Amino acid sequence: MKIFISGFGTVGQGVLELLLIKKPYLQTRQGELFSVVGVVDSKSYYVDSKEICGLCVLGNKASQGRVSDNPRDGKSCIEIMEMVDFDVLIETSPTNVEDGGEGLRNIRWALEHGKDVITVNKGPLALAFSELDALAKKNGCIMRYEGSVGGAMPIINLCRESLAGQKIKSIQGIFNGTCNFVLSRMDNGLPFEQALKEAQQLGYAETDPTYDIEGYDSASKVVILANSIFGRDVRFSDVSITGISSVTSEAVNLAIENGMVIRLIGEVSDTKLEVAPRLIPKGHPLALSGTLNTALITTDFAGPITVSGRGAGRKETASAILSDLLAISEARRKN
Amino acid sequence: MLVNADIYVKDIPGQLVVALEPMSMVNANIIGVVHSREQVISGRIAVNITFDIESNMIDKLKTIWESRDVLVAKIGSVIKTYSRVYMLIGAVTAPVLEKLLDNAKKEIEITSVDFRLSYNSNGKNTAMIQAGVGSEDDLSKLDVLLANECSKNKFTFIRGVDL
Repeated sequence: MKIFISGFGTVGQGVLELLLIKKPYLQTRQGELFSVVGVVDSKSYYVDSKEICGLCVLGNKASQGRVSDNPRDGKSCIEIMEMVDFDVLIETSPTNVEDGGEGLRNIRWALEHGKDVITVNKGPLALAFSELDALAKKNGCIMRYEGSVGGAMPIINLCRESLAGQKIKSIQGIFNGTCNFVLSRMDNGLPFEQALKEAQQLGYAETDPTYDIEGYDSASKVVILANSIFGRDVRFSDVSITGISSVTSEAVNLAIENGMVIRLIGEVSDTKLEVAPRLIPKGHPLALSGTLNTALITTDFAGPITVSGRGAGRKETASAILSDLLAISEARRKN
Repeated sequence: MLVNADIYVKDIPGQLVVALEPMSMVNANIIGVVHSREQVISGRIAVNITFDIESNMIDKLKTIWESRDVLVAKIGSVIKTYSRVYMLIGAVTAPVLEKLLDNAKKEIEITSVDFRLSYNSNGKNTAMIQAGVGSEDDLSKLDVLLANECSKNKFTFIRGVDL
């Protein structure tokens, strides 16, 4: 199976590392060779119709901040993808929730040209899920996106495969580790600004934390869950979003005095589509502290099911991509 | 329906079983029993029972109790309440909160309400409201009503999760 990786930031590098580390295991398990034949980052690209030198690409990225000495020179990722033949596109370019950016164009092109797609890029899924899903079906392609919600925490495939036959009544969850870290630190008496600064110093929050703090990241994930699990046709703009920047220390203290904590919760059901701070009783599965993600899935017969895991990170998200890759490999072998 | 009953049984061993056994005869489901041994009146002990029963079986139960010499002092339905905690952050004051809750009471039958207010020198006060209503439908209406009021008044609205 030939793989093309578009976007070579933390997650893209993690995927290539994991494929190199797991190569013997994958060959034994699948009886199939997984070869990366192309990698693109924002500045350069590296393609080889047989297989790229993974260690060279990772080394170049670490030492020079680019995958190779071949500059893109204005070439679009699509133009570079056209240079090699491949089976699966792994799309890990930066999220853009305004117009989907290059990631959306890459996925569209790949599906139109019969390539399977794995993406953790929330922008295209939050903006054009129905279109991409229809495009995949029309062209007989598989599109998987487990790592787009909750990183290493299994949720999409859990609901669609392990809980097949169950009616998923609702999913409530903590889908942003940055917000949860800030609110957890506020539980310990830190004011919002100080808790956020600490999150930035520890690398949990970006220099501009708006996307996380104002709930946009969680909202993207809620849209993906609504479309993929509840079969809805909603977009980012349909989500009712309230972030955590207006949560005061007094509010957090009042909640604690009454045996509760405040957490940013994404909620999706057949009728709900919301991201907002919520009051959670201590001891409740959603009263989680730290940077973990968690989801409470309510089903008709299996009752409530809680999953949690690391919502972001190089290896964690790469592991979700690997599971999608194996699922595609198995599906293709059955076909 | 959920029913609560005060009954009196003779203060002799085995009488509680005599009173509870008919529950299975009328397909009732016992939810709670309080056996007040210290409350003895005319040689009888007070027992408070809460149970779930089809409404058309209540008369049959009363008849069975009478035949077993169990005295029924009081019997009535219990109204189940649904409660939720809310938090409002912003320029919320006691008069504003009272007006908001009064408006809510005009549209929804609120069975219980309690609030706490924490004032802040920067004007970002916090109100915590614990409200109870008679149905899930009313709870949803209260969610929407408070969310709309908060939006109008530019308060941050935080509601409790369903339990």
